Amino acid sequence: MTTATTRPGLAPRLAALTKVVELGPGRLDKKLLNDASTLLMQAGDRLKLSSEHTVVALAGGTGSGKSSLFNAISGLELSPTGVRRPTTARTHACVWGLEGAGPLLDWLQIQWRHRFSRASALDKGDSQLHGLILLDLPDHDSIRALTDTEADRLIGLADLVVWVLDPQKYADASTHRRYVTELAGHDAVTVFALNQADRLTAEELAELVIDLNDLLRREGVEHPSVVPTSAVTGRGIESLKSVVATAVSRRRAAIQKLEADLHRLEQRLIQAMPLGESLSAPSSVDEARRMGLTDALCDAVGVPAVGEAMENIYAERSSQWVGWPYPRWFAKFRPDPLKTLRLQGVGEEIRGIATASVSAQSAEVSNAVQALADGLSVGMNPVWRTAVHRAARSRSSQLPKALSEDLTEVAPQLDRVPGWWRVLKVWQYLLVAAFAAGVAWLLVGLLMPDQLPPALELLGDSTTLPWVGLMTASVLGLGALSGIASRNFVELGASRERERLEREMRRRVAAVSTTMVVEPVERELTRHHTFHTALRDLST
Amino acid sequence: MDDGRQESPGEQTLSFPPVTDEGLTEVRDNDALDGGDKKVAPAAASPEAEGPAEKGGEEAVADDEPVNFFAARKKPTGPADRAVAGMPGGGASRGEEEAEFSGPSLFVKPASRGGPETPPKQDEPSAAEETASAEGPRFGDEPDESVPAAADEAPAPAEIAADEASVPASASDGEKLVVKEAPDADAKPEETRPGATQEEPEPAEPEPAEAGAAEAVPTAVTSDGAEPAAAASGGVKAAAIGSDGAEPADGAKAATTGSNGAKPGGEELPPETVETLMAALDTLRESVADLRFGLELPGAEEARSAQADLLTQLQDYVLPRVKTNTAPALIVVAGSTGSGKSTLVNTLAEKNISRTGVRRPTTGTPVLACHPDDRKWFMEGDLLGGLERLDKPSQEAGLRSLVVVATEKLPQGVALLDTPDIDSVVEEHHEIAHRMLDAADLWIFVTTAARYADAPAWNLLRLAKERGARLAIVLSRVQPRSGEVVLKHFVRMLTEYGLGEIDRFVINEAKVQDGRLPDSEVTDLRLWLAELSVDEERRAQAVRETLNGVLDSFRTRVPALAKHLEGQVAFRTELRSDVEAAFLSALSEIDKASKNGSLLHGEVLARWQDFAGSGDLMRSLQLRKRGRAAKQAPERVLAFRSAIRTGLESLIVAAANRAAEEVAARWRHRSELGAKLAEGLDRPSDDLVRHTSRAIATWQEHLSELVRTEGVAKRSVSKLVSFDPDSLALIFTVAMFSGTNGEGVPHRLVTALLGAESLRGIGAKALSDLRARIGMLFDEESMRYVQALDSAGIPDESVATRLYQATYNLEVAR
Repeated sequence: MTTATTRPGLAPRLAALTKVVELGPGRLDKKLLNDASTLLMQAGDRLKLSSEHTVVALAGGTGSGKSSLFNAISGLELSPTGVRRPTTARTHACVWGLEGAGPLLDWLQIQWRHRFSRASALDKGDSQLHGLILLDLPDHDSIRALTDTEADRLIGLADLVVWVLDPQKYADASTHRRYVTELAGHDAVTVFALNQADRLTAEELAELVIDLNDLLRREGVEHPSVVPTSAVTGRGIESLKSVVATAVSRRRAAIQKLEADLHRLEQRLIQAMPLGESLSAPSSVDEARRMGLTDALCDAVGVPAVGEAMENIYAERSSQWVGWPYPRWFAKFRPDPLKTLRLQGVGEEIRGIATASVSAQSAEVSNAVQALADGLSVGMNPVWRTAVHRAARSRSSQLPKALSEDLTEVAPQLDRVPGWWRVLKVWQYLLVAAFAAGVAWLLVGLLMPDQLPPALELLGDSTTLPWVGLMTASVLGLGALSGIASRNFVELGASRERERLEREMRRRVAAVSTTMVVEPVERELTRHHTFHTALRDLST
Repeated sequence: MDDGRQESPGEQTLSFPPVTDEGLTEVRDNDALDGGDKKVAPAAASPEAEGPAEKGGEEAVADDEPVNFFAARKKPTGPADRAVAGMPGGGASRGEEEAEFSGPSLFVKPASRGGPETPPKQDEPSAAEETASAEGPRFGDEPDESVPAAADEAPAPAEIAADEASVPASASDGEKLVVKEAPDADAKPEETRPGATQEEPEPAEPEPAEAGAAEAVPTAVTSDGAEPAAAASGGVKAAAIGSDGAEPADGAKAATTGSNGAKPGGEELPPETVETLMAALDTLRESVADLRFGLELPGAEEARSAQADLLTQLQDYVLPRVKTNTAPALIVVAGSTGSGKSTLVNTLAEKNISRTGVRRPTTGTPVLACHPDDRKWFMEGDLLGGLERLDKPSQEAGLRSLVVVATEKLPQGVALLDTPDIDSVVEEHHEIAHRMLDAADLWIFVTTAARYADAPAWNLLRLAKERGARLAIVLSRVQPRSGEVVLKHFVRMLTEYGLGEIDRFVINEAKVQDGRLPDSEVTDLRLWLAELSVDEERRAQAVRETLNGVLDSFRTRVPALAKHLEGQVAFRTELRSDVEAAFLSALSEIDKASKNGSLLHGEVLARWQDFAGSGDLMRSLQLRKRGRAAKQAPERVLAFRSAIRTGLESLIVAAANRAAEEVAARWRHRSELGAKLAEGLDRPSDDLVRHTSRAIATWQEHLSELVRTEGVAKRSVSKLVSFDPDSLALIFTVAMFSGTNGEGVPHRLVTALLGAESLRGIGAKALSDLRARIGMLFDEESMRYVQALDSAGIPDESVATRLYQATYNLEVAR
């Protein structure tokens, strides 16, 4: 009931951590990821288990009196104490208020024979300890502990850790470096019991408490709670009990502990993957970038060059069909350099070159993809940058081929001959024929007007001759004019064709690049964004 | 308290019987103890007269029933705890305890000079038996034999051991050194001598016993037989370790150490030997000082600190020690924080020279106490030469200083050095402590009843063992009430660790007055010191032994350093070869692309089609006619030319991209350091594109030039046909990159125009020029990686060789 108010605060953070763990593989250091998923599991387990119980662990070096303190708090001789070091090898547990504690103890892996219970109803004055599970841990610093991680494990699992220190060992590196510094931020769920206080005089004890407080503050424990105790004289046991009782009665230690753990992990995560500008990195590929990629890929295929080539080749070739025939005939009489070089067949082959299909330059394609990934991953963590690049390139080996194949379908037939070219050619030859006829008429009419048979008398009619001459001349002009006009039409048509072609090719390039480059990249970008959003949510 | 509690194993499965103050039911079983306790228990229960008493003492600590222990503490009159309760009584001095619990290891030296002797004789056999059974189950059956042997008949079995041992020992392979040295090997046995027999407190020993002792060491190593081992265990404590059978290696080590210690022990070193040794050590020091571990590889930090350690030890200790080996012995007191090192030194010096207190850690500056006559040596000597000498401790004394205090109370020839701790939060202290230990002739290791199982303590003991340092152990702050049990356990741990024969002293927890213990607690230690002071030969020998141990340790420590350096060199070579391989493969990629026609794709292809299809190609060829220049279509030729340039450029840039990424990936894969070095290097440099386009443009010009100057070949053609060299250069490029192997239009064209001969010439020149230009570009790129590597530090391989050489020379000099 008391926890109901606090758990919602933890839940979204745990959900965010789940996201981080989900998306982390390959992006986060293995150990960190491992710790994160361990914490996630721990938190899930702990929250599922009894919230009515608070697990308090007595931890410390060998010989500092954990077992004695355990016995003193429980009021029973449950854990064997002794002078041999190390004494306790297995964790002992004592429960105040049994119902519901079983699964929790199972989870803590406390052996059955080391579990004890206090029927608190029969206890006088111990009722405020109801819900306490007190653990007496093995030491963490003896040679035995080098091979036994039990203490280590339970220190990580307990809701509240009471560090049992003694005047001899309170400044040991094994306690401070390995645990206290690591647990900074756990102030609320860490208590330091300075045990064996009976061995010191009052002044010595006061000096020592001050020294210990200073030491702990230097290590990042902001508000150390130090309780001098003595299991022998019983001094300080009550105050330690009351500290524990407060934590137990508030039922918050488990949550606080998890929150502190989360905080700690979050610090490590942030350190490993600084948020920085990451959240401002794009989560999708915007229009401008898509355009840029399409442009670059079009260049790789040579779309503008193909268009230009088409225009030029049409213009050149059309002159064979629609142009004035006379210059062509004259050109044939000009000596052919190829013939001089004894390369007669090459002329045809050169014309044949212009029929080859469209293809993509793979180096340029890969540079285009690289440029896109570079632009998108600016400001990202190197790991993510690599991932974006990898995503962009995931299908880049097939990309040139796909582009080539797709564009060949629309590539212009450079040796195509439209029908109207043929019509015009016929028209031109008709004009040539008319010209020839006109010339013949003129010749006949001028040279032998009198020798004509009567059927052809008309030809010799001198009055028609000027008109015939005019007509012949205009046929010649008409041929030239129609040659120029149709050439213009060819060029106009070619440039229209080129525009259409370029549009179509761009459309296809854009489609191919979307499925083969943009989509994988966007998946990675979304992942990046989700991950960092989760990371941010975790820290709030 | 006792009543109401009962063991009820039948209820083991009931996990939570309600427990109250009134009716407490305990549910647990017997194996709550660790293995050691279990093993002891039956032995203690063997049919001995004092079995029950011993058992009681044992159970007080180790029994699974807390009830008993609690009762024992509250009711000291119970029969079960007589042994425990009895100990604090005046009669049971520390010396007796040692005599009892060292058992077959026969550590009876303290007993020989311990105070009033009222040993509870009846305890002895069982105690001995117990230890024996813990060490080797075999002895558990015949405790009666081992004990008398230990007490009285030491020489005799030792002799037998000597006879029996000589054969297997010499037969054993690889142990020749041991066998040869054994007769001289009086270093180790000598140490055992004073304690070996109670009748003869004099250091001088009957000859047979000594020989036996010397021989017994190899025996223990080589023989598994119960008989000689048992005999040896009666005679020589060193053999007690070996006779376990489980630790022959330890025995062998002990033997080797002993023999090494004995080698120079025979006589003074001749001056020329000292000289060669000094020279060898100097070379070694220089080589070690020259070491640079630039690369932050895993282990580099350790290697650097190992190097520093080695260097300091050479300067602080080895060199001064070799120079003058008659100097006073430096005894370094080291141990955990709060173990009472300063208090001990103060007490022995009878002067408050080192600050004591409850604050941990207490001592930060090492304090050296010595006899006034020795003071000069320590103030001015080279020993620990790197430390600033102070007269008295002061607040501002840094970590690199040493307080030297003279006191009459310390005997001449031995100096005590109080060190900072080895395990507190102040990690600088650990370093200083280790530095002091590196300079020590003898180590006194101080631990306490609460700490003796701490991991750092055992790490230090391991180090001492590795270094072969002479060691004495002080167990302080022992509660008189529990002393017996603690000591027994500690000794067992030591024995298991192969340190059973070490000198041990026990100091009970006592009221510390004015930073000192009552003098009675340190009598034995004082005697031990006095003995060292008086017996010069013994002292010198201890000194030499430690020195030899240190020199021995160089055999592994120096090569380890060299090995790490070699690792660094290898790592660097690997990274460099990664760069080379990546860029080589990029070059070959370009080569391949230029040969298989893949360059003629995309824009280049379209432009070529344009060039050919639009008639420009034909127009570039003209029959030679006077006064008529070739008609050109410059914009198309230029576009074609730039398309070729772009194509080549992108080919190179893409290859460089891939190479850069590959290098970064390989480096990252290799190690963390590689990843760090590769940071920002997974892209080619920003200048690459600019440089490439410039290089290709120059190349194209070069090609035109070649065509113009060298391509005028075929005279028969040139008379008839003129050509535009720029266009021809383009056709030539296409022919070169089309990869059709002499087929195809462009090829035939250029062949016809230029002739096959000059075509080949131009082709080869153009290609090699292009390759050279790309190679230069890539060299520039790979330089970035090499620079990154260099900035991380360049390890020098020759130093490693010099190190090996120096180590070898040192061995020769010894």
